[in-house]
Amino acid sequence: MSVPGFDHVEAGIPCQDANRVRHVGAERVVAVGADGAGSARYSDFGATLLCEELSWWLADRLSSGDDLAIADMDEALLRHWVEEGIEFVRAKVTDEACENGGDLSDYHATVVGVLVDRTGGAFFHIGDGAGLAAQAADLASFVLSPPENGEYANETFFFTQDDWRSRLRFLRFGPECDLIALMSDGVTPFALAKGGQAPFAPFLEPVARFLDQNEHDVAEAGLLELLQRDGLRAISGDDKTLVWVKRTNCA
Amino acid sequence: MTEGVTIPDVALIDNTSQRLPCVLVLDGSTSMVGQPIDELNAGLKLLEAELKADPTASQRVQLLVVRLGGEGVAEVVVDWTDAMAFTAPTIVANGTTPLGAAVRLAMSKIDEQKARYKSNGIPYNRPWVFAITDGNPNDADWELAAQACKAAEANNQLTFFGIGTGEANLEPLALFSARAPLKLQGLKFKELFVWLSRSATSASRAAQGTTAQLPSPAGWAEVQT
Repeated sequence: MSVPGFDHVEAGIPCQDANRVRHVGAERVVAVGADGAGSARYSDFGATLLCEELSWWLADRLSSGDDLAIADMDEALLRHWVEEGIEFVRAKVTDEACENGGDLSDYHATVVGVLVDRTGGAFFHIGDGAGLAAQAADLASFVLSPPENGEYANETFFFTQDDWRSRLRFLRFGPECDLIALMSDGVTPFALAKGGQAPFAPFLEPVARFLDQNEHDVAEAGLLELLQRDGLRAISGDDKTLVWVKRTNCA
Repeated sequence: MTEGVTIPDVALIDNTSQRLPCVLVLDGSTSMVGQPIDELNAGLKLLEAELKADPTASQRVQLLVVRLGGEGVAEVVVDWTDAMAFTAPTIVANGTTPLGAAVRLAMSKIDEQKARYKSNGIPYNRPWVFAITDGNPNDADWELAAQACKAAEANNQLTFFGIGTGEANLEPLALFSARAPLKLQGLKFKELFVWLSRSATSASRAAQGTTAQLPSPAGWAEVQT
């Protein structure tokens, strides 16, 4: 889910985070999260369009690939799918920008997404935010696609930049990971440990336990309350996205 | 049915350690003697209180204070310190206006601090330099220092704010940055430092990938309308 940040609510700015989760058959999932840049005037639209269209594109590719397991996909094919998808979205954004008299930079957004099936999964990522795959019973075993910033903490990379291909990163994880999470930079300050290179168990373990023990609607209500809790006000006033994928019957 | 649902036992801790380095370059030359230096020092105390009152800014803003004055002296009067531990110094007014040396010192201290952040894995925002002066720079190579500062800003190494007070000639200050210097209205140092605190608070909270929207300086600066 994506919730507007405290600062955005107070300033009357729309939520610039977005996410989309699509199921492909019974065993495959595509999830995409995006964070629109605060300095870009249509970044909320850019983030939403990116999540909708890229998730649709990748779900379509997965459907067409029949039983191709993600673990068996080579890096080149994975990159080809994601790059094609992002090109598709960039073309749509360019059309939109032409109508509005702007350009791609008005739609700046980061992206972190994942393809998951019973054989494992793969993150794709441009900019900040994070993708985490771990064993829920033991968060010490994890795979993390970490945030990428420029020299300064408030500068990052977007799918709308000219050199986006060089910033597109991939990271695979195995079938033993049953907890997969995508998070925007409004969430990483308290969901990742200092340095941003590992999960922060005192936050993630109680959340994992709660989501595991409750039905979807209760779990969703709990997450919504958590991401809007007043205790987060001093940590991050930014929009917050947390996508949580729980795999069952893992190897 | 799902109202009042709460996930228990969740630790909510800020693990970012992000820092906003901010340098104050303050004019302690003879021309500041009297009410101007008193107002400047009162403004510094207000800055201390305002930053400490904000939980985010007090943790993220780091300050360094450079005084210029004496016989062409530029000196660090407060070395890098977290806002929560900052104690406002008392700036003494006597001597010349070696603004070039003071800005060079500020740039050198910024480079040192960036190296410290990098070696400790601490994320940081682009450093700010506020130069507040009422006189013309009179050290020998101040124009070279101004060029170096302007080039550093163009290379994203820092952001420079020039603020002229009293009868300051803004033309020299304008050479330090592509951004036009601002003129303080009368002796509104307190309003200036409240603005600085609020701007630092805003920037220290700015989300990654965003540009901080600073408050208007109209409360203390002479802004053309």
